[in-house]
Amino acid sequence: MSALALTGCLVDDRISREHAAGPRPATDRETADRFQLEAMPHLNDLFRTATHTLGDRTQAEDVVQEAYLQAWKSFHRFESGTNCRAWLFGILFNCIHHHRRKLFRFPLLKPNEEFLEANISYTPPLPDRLSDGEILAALDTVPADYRAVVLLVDVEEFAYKEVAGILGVPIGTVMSRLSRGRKMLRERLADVARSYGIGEGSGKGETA
Amino acid sequence: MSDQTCLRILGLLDSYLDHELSSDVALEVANHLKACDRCSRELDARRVLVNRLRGAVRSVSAAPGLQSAICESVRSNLQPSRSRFSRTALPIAAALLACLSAAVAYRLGYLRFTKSSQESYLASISAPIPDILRVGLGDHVHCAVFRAFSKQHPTPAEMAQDLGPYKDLAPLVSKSIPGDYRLEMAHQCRYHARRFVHLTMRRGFTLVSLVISRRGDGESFARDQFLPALTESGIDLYQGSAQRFQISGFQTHDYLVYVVSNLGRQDNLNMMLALAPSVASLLESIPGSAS
Repeated sequence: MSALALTGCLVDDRISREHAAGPRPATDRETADRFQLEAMPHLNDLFRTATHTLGDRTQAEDVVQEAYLQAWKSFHRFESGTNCRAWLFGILFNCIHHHRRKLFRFPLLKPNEEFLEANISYTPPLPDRLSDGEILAALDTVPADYRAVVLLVDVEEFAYKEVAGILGVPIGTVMSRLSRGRKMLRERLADVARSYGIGEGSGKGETA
Repeated sequence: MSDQTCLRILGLLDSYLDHELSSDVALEVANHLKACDRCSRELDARRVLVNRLRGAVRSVSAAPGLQSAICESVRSNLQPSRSRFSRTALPIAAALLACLSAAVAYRLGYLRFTKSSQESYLASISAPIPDILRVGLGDHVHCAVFRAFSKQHPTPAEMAQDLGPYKDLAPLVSKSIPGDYRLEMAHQCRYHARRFVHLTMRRGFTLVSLVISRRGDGESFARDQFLPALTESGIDLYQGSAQRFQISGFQTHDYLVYVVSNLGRQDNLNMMLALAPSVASLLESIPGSAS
């Protein structure tokens, strides 16, 4: 590259960008097309996960948009053929993490809170009469860190290892948060059902 | 079925449900579930919850406006990798390139003072000093400061050849100057139609010239009403300065002798003191050879 071309970029980025749109549109267009093809189909998945992790659609829209912009900016680092969906979810939770810290500044869970033998108990079966709305409302009462794992495993069907990568936590933490989160969800739903008089008599769940 | 076994299986149920167990452990759980009604019902309950949850959450979909908003922001951020590059690496590369070209241009001589700018520089710095001192200063600035010497300094034999009748000056100066100076150049040169014998010595960034020129008609330090700064060894030393240059001078019957440098005033005088007696007596021994 000549000195002139280099200084050209320095002097006016906008001009050079316009200039770049001239002789080399194919590359940018190709990248944009590839992004459209590989990343955009996961928009709904990202949005619903963000919505239920943050508990707010508007915030979720902001965060998802931010995540897509970051993904686009680092799309050149993404290796084609690897798991684009998991990569996007990783970026999404990075954004969610920053977003939450900005909003609430609440401390994240301490490690010792997670060592619970949550899953080694029986809980009452889920009554069929519960609506989707009631299930979602119960989900929102589960603490966010547990909720995120439940959403990623149960709804988005990621493997434990992928979830560990997306959230940046050890796989053991994924497993304990998942069991705890599922159990909390079931207990909340059992409470809802009991308040309606459904499933009365099955009790609080027997412990093995 | 013992409670202990059920406890163990319950602990594995979530991973079993998610197909995260190794095949032998999964087989063990499956065998237990066939035989244990209670654990089997528990698995079903957990599976139902997962399915209901999946259905409920997936009923949510993004507003159609979101996709177009994202496409819009992506489109306005075309060139993701290059824009980052141009913000950081390109300015650095450009700066390096500019330095490099300046260095090359300097080596090739394009950025040096032109002859006329050299003259005006010399005129401006030497305005406050007497004409007689300008003779030495001019040759130093013209020959030693502005004309960059080649890295390869002449050998003593080459210096002797260049100096002609003054060839004994080089070894004499080498012997007289402090040990940390080195004689870089010794030659005869011409500046403003005047001939000089010129020797330069260097120590780091310090550049010292011994400039000798034949006295013209009526040329004399004393005649310029210029009082001697120091009188030692029977030689009157004259001293002046022009900006960063210090000039010391004395005269013999036939010659004007200068030491010009960017040293301090006292150091420049000391250098002259070190050279003056032997240089004076050497010049006396040379028959009128400088034209």
